[in-house]
Amino acid sequence: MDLLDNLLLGFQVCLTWTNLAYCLLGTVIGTLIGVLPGVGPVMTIALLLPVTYGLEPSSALIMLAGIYYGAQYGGSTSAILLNLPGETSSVVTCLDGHQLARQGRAGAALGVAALGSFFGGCVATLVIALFAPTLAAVGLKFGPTEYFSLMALGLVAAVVLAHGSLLKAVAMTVLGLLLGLVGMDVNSSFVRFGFGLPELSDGLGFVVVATGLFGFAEIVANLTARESRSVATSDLRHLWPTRADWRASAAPVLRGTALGSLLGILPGGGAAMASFAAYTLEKRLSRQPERFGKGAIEGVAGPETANNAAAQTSFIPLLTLGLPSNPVMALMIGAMMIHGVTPGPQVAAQNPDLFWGTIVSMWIGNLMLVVLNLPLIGLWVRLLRVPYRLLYPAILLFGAIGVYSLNNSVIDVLLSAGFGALGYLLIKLECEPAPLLLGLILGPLMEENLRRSLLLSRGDPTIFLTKPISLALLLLALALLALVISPAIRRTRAVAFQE
Amino acid sequence: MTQAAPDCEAKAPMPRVHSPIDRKNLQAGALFAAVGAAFAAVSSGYPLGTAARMGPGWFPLALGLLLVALGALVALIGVIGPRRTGEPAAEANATTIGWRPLLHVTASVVAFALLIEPTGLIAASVALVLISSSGGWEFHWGEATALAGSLAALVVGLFAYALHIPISVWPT
Repeated sequence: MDLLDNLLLGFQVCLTWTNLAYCLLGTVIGTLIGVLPGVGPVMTIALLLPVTYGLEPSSALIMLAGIYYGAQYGGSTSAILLNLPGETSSVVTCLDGHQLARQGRAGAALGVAALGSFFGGCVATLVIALFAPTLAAVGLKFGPTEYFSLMALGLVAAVVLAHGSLLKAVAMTVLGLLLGLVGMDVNSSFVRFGFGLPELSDGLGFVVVATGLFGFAEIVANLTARESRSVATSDLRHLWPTRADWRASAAPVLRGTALGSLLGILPGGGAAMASFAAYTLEKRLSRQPERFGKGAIEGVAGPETANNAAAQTSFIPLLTLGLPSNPVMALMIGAMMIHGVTPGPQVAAQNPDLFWGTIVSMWIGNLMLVVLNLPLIGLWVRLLRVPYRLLYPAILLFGAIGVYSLNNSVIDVLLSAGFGALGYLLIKLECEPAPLLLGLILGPLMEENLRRSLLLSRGDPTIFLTKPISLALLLLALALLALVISPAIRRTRAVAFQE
Repeated sequence: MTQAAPDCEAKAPMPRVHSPIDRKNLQAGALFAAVGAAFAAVSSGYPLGTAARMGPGWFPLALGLLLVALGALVALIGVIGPRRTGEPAAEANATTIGWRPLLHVTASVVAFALLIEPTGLIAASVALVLISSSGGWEFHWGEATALAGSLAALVVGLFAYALHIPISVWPT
């Protein structure tokens, strides 16, 4: 069987001592930054990107992927024990997880979160292994017209899934697209918006913008809110959930896996959206919705499973179409490019060891996480007692070094400081930064594909409607927009983001 | 990607202040429109070309104008009032900006950028840590100095010696 052969190849790549070590390193770093509020996977991966330069491409991807899904694991620990989401994707875990901890059942909540995540991660790995090759085969048939329509669909999805105002999200996306156009135009070698700075002719570095918008802006926002923390370390001895907990969690875990796998594939989706959606779903389906928010184990099991499943399936669009569905995946593109691998449908055929090695490593990484994390929780708790005033200068320093070391460019560090200030302003104006980043990544790609399509059709824009795949993708985008604008969905969306 | 949510309870619905003008939307709209206009103005000076053979100015000009229109719409919603348009209202109307942390954090990164090449990693790191920690709530010189020293030692060991990142450690 093809699938078995492929998985076997993946295991061969993963089960070398070096790659096992990098997988372990990635998952432990991921858990660490997941536990710590204010340091996200985007910043960490950005920081480690230059470090991976000397590694084998598969080792690099295995480690970086581990950071992403490891962070989803770690995020739940601080959410449950501290009522402090380590990651956005753990915000909803606070609601019931921390209540459980207050009732002395922190162990059960942590155990269900870890084992649910493991289950979700395993199934998602299988989903990738099953569907990625098929999607890659479809992707090979895509021309510039189809790619443009697909990216349009991705941007629409990103806007729909963003928090808060739709219109602001659209505006942020367009702003991101514009920022993405800074630098040399590939078709004419004309430098746009360079203002005479040679550093700008290569465009705004993605890491520069992401570190500023997500890393530095976040610190300023955290510093304006006074810190208040109390660790609920009530009972960490009984990590194993009771039989009643298992019975209550089984169905939410299954539903969370399905929902997470689906939302992870969607462009613009990812872990955070999946956990929000899973929480809302569980509350809807529950016979006693009033228990939610007061320590319902289902409210931990569903979202924690979903965010882990989504973190993994969000690799599908990257590995098969070369399109990043969220900022972390955009960094993965950077990581692949460093090693001379152009992400796209050809990766599965040209670099099968890289492709299948990464997929299998996710399953191995999940296993490591479950084995390692339950005993390590005590250590993470001690780490969380480190006050933020000692932590944030360290985060800033690592961020600044990360930006500088990419190109040894002073201008880059100055730009990231500027984007930090801009990001703080945008947080204050309640504009979500995620669509901007997606626009920044897709800007040059969209322009290039638009220009190529119109060159092929001699300037006739109907080419996007006469090609069947392109038409279907655009109709899908339109349907998605119509759904969101319709009043009924708008209400549920408002409810979903309230919680 | 972490979100500015220092505490889950902050996510609970806040009592909303209904005033005739939503300042946050107005300010955000103005910001978008201004940036869009700037992009459009600069790119209108670039060769535009035709739809079939686009020049480098075509796409940015179109996007810039689109951003101006979007900014105007966001601002309009701020003026008309969020309730009638169905857009979610901004949570609190007054925009309070934490100038102190903003200033210190930005200045510390700028200082790092300006010092890294002339004085090397150690001095730049110490400057970053000292400037940024003096912007927090609690600040003790002794603690901050100790933190600066140990972080500088850590990053030099980690990045310059263990990971061999080409970065100068001492003043050149």
